[in-house]
Amino acid sequence: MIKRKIIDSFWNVLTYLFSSVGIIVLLLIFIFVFSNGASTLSWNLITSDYNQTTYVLSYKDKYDGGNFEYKCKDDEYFSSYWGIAFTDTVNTEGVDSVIISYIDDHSPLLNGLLDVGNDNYHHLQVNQYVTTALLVGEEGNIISCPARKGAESMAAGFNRGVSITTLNLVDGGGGIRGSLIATLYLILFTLILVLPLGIAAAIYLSIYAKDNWLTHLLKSLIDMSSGVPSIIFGLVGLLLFVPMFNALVVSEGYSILAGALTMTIMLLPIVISTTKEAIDVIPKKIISGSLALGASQTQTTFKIILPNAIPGILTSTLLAIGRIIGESAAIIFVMGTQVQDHVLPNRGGTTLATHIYNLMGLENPNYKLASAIAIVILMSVLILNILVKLIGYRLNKFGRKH
Amino acid sequence: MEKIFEIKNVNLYYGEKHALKDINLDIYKKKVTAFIGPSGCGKSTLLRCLDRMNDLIDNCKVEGSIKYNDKELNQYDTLTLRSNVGMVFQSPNPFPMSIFDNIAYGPRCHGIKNRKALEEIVISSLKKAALYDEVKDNLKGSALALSGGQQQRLCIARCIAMKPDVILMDEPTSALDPIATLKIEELINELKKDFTIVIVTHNMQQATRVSDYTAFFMLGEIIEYNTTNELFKNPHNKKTEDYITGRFG
Ligand SMILES: Nc1ncnc2c1ncn2[C@@H]1O[C@H](COP(=O)(O)OP(=O)(O)OP(=O)(O)O)[C@@H](O)[C@H]1O
Ligand SMILES: [Mg+2]
Repeated sequence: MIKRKIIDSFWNVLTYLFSSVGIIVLLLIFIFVFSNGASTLSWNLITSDYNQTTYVLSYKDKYDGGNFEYKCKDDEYFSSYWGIAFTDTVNTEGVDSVIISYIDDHSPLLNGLLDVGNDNYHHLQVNQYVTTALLVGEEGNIISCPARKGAESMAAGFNRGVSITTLNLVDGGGGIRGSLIATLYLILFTLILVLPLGIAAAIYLSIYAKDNWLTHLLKSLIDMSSGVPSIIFGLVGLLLFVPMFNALVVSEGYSILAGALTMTIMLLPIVISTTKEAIDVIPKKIISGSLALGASQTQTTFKIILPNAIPGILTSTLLAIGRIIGESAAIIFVMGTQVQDHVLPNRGGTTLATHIYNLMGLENPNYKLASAIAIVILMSVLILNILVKLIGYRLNKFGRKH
Repeated sequence: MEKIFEIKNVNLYYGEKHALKDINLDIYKKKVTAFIGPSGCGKSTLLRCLDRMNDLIDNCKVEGSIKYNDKELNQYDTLTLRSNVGMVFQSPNPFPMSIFDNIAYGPRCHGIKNRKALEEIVISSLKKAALYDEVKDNLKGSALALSGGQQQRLCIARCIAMKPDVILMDEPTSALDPIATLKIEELINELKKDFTIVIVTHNMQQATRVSDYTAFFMLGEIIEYNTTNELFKNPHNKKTEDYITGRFG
C-alpha cells in the first residue's frame, strides 16, 4: 500500500518535472524574443522600407539664424538657430543613432536643403536619421557632428554653424513593410485558391462521393498529405510552379504567385478536413429534411450545408492563415530570401518568417529586428488562435456530439 | 374509392438484404393508412419508397411497380414528386433558422420569392398545423428554441407549406410526450380532410385512433391489410392477432 503510494508520487513528480521543463523552455523563448525585440518594435518599423535611402544634402548659403522656440521633451535637443530638434535613438538595425524629432514650420531646413545628387530641394521630414553633419562656423571653421556623439552634441553643433556643407540623411531602412505586404499578398492569393478548392472538395467528399475504394483512397491520401514536411512542398513548388509561371512569362524566377500555389497544395488537406468535419456534424436528418421537401441537392448544399459549415470554414481559414504566416521552408524555395520593398505578385519577396531567415543569414545577424518580427508573428498567431477558439465556442450549433 | 398509390409486386434490396418481399398495396385518397409491425420489418423502407427517398441510399435497389396518380413513380422527377408527397420524420428536424424561414424554405426552393405570398403560406400552414397561436409573436425566433412537440408540428407545417397531396409520417410521435402526442393525433384527424396520410406507428392505440386502413408487416412482407376497424376487431391472420393482442414483438 505504502509502496504503491511512493511509486505513484514518484511518477507524479517525474511528470511535473518534465512538463515544467517544457513550459520553462517555452517561457525562456518568449522572454528572449520580447526582451530583444520589444525596444525595436514600433509603428515606424512596420511602415518603413527595409532598404534604406540615403541622401547627401547641403545648405550652402550663409544663414543669419532665427530665434526659434520649442519646448523640448526630456530626451530632445533643440537648435534654436536652425529650428530643428534631435533625439537619441536606436535605429531599426539596432545601432545608436540620431533622429530628427521636430522641425519648425519656418525653419530654412524644411525645404531649403539641396540634394547634392540631383540638385533638387529636399523636403526634410521628422523620423529621418542623421548619420553625420558638417557645418561651417562664423569664422569659417568646420564643425563635425557625427551621430555617434549623440543628439546633444548634434544640436550644439548646429547652433554654432551658419551654413551646412553636408548633411548625411538616412530615410527608413530596416523596416518590414515590404515583408508584411508580401505576407498579406501570399495570404490573399492562397486563400483565393485554397478556399473554393478545399470547400468544393469537402462538399464532394462528404455529400456526393460514392462510398467506394476510390473515395477511401482519396480520403486517406488527404489525411496522409497533412503530415508531409513543408520542405517537400517547397521542392514541388520550385520544380513545378516556378518554371510554370516563368513559362507563362508572368514572372522571372521566384514569385509570390508560385508561393501561393505551393501553399495552396500544402494547405488543401487542412481546409478539406476541417470543412469536412464541419459538414459531417450536420445531422443527416436535417439534410434529408431538405431533400424530402423537394429541394434539389444543390439547393440543400447552398442553403443548409454551407451555412452550417461556416464555423468550420472560418476555422480552417484562420488555421490556414496561421500556417502561411509561420511557414518558411516551402516559401524560401519558391519566393527567395531577398527582402523587397516594392512588392509585386509576380516577383519574389520575403514573408515575415523568411525575413527573419534572411536577417539571421547576414554577416552580422540582426537579433533585435528578428525578435521584433518574431513578436509580430507570435502576436498574429496568438490572435488567430483566440479567434479560432471563439468561433468554435460561439457558432457551433450542433456540437460534436451528433 | 380513389387510389392514390398502387403498389404492385415490389421487392427491395439493400445490397444483399431482401428488405421488402412482394408488396402489393393500394393506398386511398384522403384516408389515413397506418403501417404497423415489429421493428425492422420494413415499414420505414416502404414509406421511403413512396417519395423515393430510398434513391439517396447507395446500395438500395427497388423492383416492381409503384404508381402515383396512375403514373409510374420513376417517371416523376424527384423534386416534383417530393413536393407532392411530403415527409415528416421520426424525430423533429427543424432547420437551424427562424420559424418563418423553416416554413418558407420549401416554397422558396420552388421559386416563390414574393414576400407577401410567402407570408400567406407561412401563416396558413402554421394555422393548419395548429401551431400558429403558440408562435405568432415569434416568427423570427429560432425554430430550435421550440419544444419537441412544437418542433414536430413545425415540421408538419413545413410539409403543408408545399401544398402536397400526401403526407408520409414515420413514427411522428415516438419522440414526444403523451400530451404532445395527443395534439399531433388531433392534428392528423383534422388534416385528413385535405391530405392523404400514411403513418408508421408502433402504438396500436394510435393506429386505431387515427387511421382508416392498417397494414400489418412482418419480415418484409405484408401479412394483412384491411380497414383499421376490421383488422383490429377481426384479424384474419393468426400472426396479426398475436401482434395486436401483444402476444408478439
Ligand atoms: N440504409 C439501409 N441499408 C441497409 N439496410 C437497411 C437500411 N435501412 C434499413 N435496412 C434494413 O431493412 C430492414 C427494414 O428496415 P426498416 O427501417 O424499414 O424497418 P422498420 O419497420 O421501419 O423498423 P422500425 O420499426 O425499427 O423503424 C431492416 O432489417 C434494416 O436493417
Ligand atoms: Mg422505421
